[in-house]
Amino acid sequence: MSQEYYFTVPGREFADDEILIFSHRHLMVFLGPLIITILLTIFPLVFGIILGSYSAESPLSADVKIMIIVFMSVYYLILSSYLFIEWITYYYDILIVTENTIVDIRQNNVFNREISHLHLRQIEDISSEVKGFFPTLFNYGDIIIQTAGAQERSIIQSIPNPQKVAAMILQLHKNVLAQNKDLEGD
Amino acid sequence: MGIIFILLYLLFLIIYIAFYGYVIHRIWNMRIKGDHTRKGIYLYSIIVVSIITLSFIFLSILPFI
Repeated sequence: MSQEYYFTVPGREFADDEILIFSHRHLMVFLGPLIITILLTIFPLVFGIILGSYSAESPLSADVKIMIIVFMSVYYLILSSYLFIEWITYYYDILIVTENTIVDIRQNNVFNREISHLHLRQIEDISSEVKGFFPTLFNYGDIIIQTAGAQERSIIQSIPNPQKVAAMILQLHKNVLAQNKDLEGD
Repeated sequence: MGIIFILLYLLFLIIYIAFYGYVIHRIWNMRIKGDHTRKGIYLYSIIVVSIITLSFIFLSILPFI
């Protein structure tokens, strides 16, 4: 096993399977937290400049200045951590499709991760949904998979090119069914 | 008063670094071959170190004792 290949869940199972689709969520999903962080980064700086808190001639006492520096430092540390955790949540939300399996990895936060495996044989119906202004503009959306098993409906969210991905999964599903028929025929 | 704030800040930094050290350790174990996690962690670490360094530089300028 390569030193970099720490991803334990699909790593072993995909040893013989070729990964055909490997997709993160669309980058637009991360845009919201990024804009919030940029605005929250600028806001205290502008506010401080307007109040003149950072100038050498500021009438504030040394204690107040220490308080401002400490609060600003804590504020920016928490803000950078927020962005980092949002990035991790975005980056580790992954859809993997192989010749036989769909693996949907949902990273809800650093300490909450859901991994669902679905065999292509189990699929009964698959559809894609692009809803809203930005999803239509940037071509991303959800894939809804209907299965025969206990978990009847599986939704894979904010995937780029959902129609194309759904069509590919459907084609793979047909291939698996055809293979099974051939095996039964033999 | 200023000293108390600085001591509280140091306490916060110890807890913060310990917690995010653990978070980074967890993330390091989730890595996928060829991903950008390493770069992300480096960038995050640089930002955190810069914030802490700048804070200490600003604090050292002030005549708080």
